[in-house]
Amino acid sequence: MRILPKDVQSVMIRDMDSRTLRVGIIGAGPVVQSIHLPALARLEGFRVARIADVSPDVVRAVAERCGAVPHTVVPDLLAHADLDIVAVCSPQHLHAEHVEAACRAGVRVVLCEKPFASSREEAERVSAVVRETGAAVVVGAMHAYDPGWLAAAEHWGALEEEVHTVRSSIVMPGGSRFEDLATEVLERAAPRPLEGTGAEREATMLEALLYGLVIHDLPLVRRFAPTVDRILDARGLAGGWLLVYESGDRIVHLSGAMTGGWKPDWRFEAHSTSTSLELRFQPSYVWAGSAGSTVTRDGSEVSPLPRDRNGYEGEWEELAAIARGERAPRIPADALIADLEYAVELAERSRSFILDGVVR
Amino acid sequence: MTGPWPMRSEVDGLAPRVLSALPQTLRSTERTDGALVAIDGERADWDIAVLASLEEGAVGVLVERPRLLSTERLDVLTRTSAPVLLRRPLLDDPLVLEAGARRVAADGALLLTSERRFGADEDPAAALLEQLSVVRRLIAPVARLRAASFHPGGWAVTGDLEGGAAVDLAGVLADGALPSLRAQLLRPPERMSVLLHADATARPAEVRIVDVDGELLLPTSYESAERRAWRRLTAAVSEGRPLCDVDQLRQDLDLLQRVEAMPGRAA
Repeated sequence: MRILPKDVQSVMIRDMDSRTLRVGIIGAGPVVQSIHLPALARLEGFRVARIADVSPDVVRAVAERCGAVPHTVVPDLLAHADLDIVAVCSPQHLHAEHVEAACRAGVRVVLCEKPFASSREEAERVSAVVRETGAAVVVGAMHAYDPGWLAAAEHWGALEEEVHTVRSSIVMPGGSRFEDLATEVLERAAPRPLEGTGAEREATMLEALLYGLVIHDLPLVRRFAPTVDRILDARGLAGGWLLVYESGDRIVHLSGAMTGGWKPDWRFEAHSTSTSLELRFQPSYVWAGSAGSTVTRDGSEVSPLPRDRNGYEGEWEELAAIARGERAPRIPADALIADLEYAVELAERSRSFILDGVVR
Repeated sequence: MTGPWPMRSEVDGLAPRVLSALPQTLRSTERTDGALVAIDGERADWDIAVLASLEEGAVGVLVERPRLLSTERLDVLTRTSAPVLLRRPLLDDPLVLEAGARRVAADGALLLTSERRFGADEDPAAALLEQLSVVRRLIAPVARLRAASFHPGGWAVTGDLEGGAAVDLAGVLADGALPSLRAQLLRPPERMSVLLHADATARPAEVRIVDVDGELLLPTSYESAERRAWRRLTAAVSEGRPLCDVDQLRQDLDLLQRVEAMPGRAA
């Protein structure tokens, strides 16, 4: 176990009395309203103390729902030294800036929604600040914290070394269906229209889906396929994607779409000759528990029972354990950077593939 | 003309199994003349054996799991005087055979993905051929190829369906799991998923169609692909209908050869 610095210990000691961790949230959009606030309400030991958002009406209403203090600018939220954890749930292009600001303000534990940066340069800059300040950062790629994934890892043996095929398939209804089943969402921003035409537009569409949805699975994919080598095919479809590439002697298939059908289907698979791993994730937003997982080895199957906690709750339990000094982050900072670099590499290589019009 | 049809088999263990499943339709014989003949497709010269049986007066021939031949050799079999059925287990699944009427239109589809899990005792080329065939019969032919990569653990083949949908075919060597073929067609707001068991049992295939209102499981059938194949052959003979699976195999083989000839294909 990592020994935390003295100032962190003092914060911990202060909170040991109540065991309640004070949370500040930057951003009050649909993800906060329908995922993080309900998840925190289901868990014990958290109190949402402050929320910041540029929209005064939204932040006031959302803060009122959970008894938090509203702020309309981030520095005001960070100026208060009473926060144990800050969650960065602002728009994607502001993630790096807000993580950096939270660390510099002395926050010891930061949750950043994925991706935590939008370029290698930003990632390096944030990483330097994290090292300098000693803050712990958790990135919200929720499947890496899903109890179903963690349970399966205990059963797959040498699969990471022997794997030859990795597949991720995500089929979701799209729109706000699941947000509306989780809570009553206040005010949604209109989706940003895609820019460009032809191949440029296709590449932009693929990139948006990669950073918006596929990225949840990329830490899992990278564990089994650590490099991005030859891109075999990359396509941005109307609301869907297909990305097939070689990683050493392994093949990775990433595909999916927003279909408008009612039933979600989110799967992750990894196969070696002797072992197959299959995970069936629950949709985001709703409280449907963990992934179901099956590991098949040498003619036998192991299927750990699904848990009633999902990956988001897993993230918050991880944050609590770190804030209380019970353990170091499960995913260290260098792995977070490697995960981000993997996503950036995939996005850049896919873009080049599409723009080059490579058809073999 | 109706049965029972005399049936002669040169495939080990086949006759008792098939006769017990169709005891009123078939009866055993040692003669070829006037009989339905089962030929072992593992033979290197199964095409010659088919022609020889027909010359000896067989009224129909079933080739059990035919190994791949050159298209030139198959061409000779496309003009036979009597029905010739090539029994490829996944393609004889009742659901695949009846798929024509139920086929979900591929027009307007976005993406087709498929995974063929195969065992170490299966020929990967034959497994890929089967995957291409099932996709053609259930959904639509792969009209354009974009990439192919083969490795000891399987393959990745991408392209486009007739109608424009993107295609991603995966082959997965998975000795620890049961062999199967899965496919998923996304045609917003519909999704069709298919699961075929690539073993010898009568476990039914499943086709599910999900749309905005719910999910439909198409009727399942516990008839084994083997029994269904023999019923198909006897029906063709009884009704005097032509039946030649060779044309279909030839089309699929053409596509397989194009896949194997793709540049950049890893060994």
